[in-house]
Amino acid sequence: MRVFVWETGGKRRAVAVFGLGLVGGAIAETFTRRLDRPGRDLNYPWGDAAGRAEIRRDLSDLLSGSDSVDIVWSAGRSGFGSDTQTMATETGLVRELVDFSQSLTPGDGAASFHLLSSAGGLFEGISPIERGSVPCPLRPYGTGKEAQEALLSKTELRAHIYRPSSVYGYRRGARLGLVAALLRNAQEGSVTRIAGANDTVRDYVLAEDMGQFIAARVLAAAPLPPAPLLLASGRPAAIGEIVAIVRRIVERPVLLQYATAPDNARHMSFRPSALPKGWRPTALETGIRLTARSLLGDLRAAA
Amino acid sequence: MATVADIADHVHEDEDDRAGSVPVSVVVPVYAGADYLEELIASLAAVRDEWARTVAPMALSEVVLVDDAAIDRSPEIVDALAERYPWVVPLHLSRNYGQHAATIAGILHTAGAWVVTMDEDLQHPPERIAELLETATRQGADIVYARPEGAVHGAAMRDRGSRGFKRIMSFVTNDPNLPLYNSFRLLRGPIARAAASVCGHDTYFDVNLSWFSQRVAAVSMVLEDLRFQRTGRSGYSFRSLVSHALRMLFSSHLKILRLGSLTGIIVLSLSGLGGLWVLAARLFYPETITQAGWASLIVAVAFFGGLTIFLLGITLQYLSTLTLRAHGRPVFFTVDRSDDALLARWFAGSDRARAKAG
Repeated sequence: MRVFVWETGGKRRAVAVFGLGLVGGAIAETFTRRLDRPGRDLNYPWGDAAGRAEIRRDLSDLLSGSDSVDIVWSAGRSGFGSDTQTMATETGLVRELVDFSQSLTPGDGAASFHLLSSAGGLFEGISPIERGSVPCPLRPYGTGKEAQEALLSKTELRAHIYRPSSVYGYRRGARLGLVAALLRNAQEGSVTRIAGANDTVRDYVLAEDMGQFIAARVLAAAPLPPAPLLLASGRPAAIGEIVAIVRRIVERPVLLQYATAPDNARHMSFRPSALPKGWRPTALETGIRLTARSLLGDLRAAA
Repeated sequence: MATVADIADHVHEDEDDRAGSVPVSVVVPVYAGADYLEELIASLAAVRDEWARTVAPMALSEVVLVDDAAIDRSPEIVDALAERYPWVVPLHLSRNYGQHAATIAGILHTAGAWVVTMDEDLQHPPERIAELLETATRQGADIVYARPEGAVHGAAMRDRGSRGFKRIMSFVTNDPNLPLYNSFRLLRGPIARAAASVCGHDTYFDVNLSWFSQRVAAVSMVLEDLRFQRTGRSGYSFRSLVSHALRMLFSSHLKILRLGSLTGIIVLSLSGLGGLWVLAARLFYPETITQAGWASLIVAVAFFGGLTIFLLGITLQYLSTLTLRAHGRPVFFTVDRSDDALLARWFAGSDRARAKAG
């Protein structure tokens, strides 16, 4: 977890980012850049309830006296294959932080809670997803995300919910998604297992775009959105296209193994008109090239 | 005459086994379409409404308007249409890349199970899209082209030139479907996107499509380039036509290369036979040789000429294979045609309803 505390216009503001993975790391990095300060890292022990309570007490002290407080949840570790138990555990962690946020008393009345949900989990198999589309989860992952959103919506907190489509990018130590795995495996000459089909259509967003967008909303103290925000590119892409782009970039063969009974092959796409104003997704090929540059740079440095 | 209600009543029989509408995307490159776009979108909206009203198993889910740095008011019109219709997707290219690139860009922004590409200037009737789809599903085709009946441009020279060029290219490239190539086409979505994703600057999209499917069909219809007929201007300049031709040549596996190698072998063989004949004549019938050295010279020239042609042909074929690989020609591609039966049944039901009513 990383905490940023700063003063602007005579007011003290604070942001705590929980989860420094692909998206959380990008959000924290944007804060560091925009605020020109590194932030303070606190080790939030996800597997130790007593340890978490202790850190929350420390954090409460750190945030006290702030005129505004933003809590960003980007610590979801679940995936499409997560079972009910895993999702319940994750929802429990969200509940802890929601309760903690409600206990805070910033100068402006209530803390803001930014929840990273998942459009893929909530709208699996819907194409195109529109602004008014109603969540219809098909598996525990989506049901869990829906429960987390519902949990937040029932509070007095200022709730900001973001529903990203398939996130890609690279961050050292973070879990590799499809794009990063394809790039790394192509570079290393190993096989990538694809859980979907060659023609499975999805929508991919770059983690850095999300980081910049969410951080900008926090810093600008953006007004509450009328509904959860869909963060997608509005530009569907088949897995085959991603593979073709990776092949072009890496200039090596891309070895693939498609699942014989793919459990994640439903199509999903988003209407561009459903996306929020001010959201500027990077073009797919550019994003993959940026990802390749940081990932391959890391691989070369490690070699 | 069948009414809409007749068809709708009939097709309800199939509704139960419909998991969801089969989405159809339409891609329209826009360059100078200010005078036509409103009418085009109105026609597509009518098709969309008609399919919804007749509870068709397919839905016109999106129309991607690709503004290829248009030279008229098209960009504003595209944005205005996108404001009015949520299913219109505006796409603005950063500069003019040409119709080919705009089509590729549009296809790569679609999500439909089927993709229709059509021109901006109303020469391609949206109401015939259902017919293209019907042909595809009944014949199990992946690609259906509109085949123009009669003169498209109303200019004999232009139309004959276009047809003649396609025939020559068909012979040279050994692609029997090449004369069917037309920008009004229906494509199976996954194949369209796969072909578009490997399509580069120097490859021809329809040739790329042939790498993914040989199931090609055509529907004859009257297509008139009204813009050309009225104004004498076409969406294609002479330069762009030459560019098209070159792209078609460079992305095809040319039959002429194989013919070249074959010619080399034949000449080489003939020179070998000629050499034997010269040797035999020299040994057994020296009196028949009136001018010493000429026959040997001809044989030597033919031998080395044939060898050169043969080796050059092999080299060019090898180069062609490497080029195709570099262009992204796949080793294989899988496709799911399971939705076709549902659509074909619906079209058959519509026919029966029409026949009953008529």
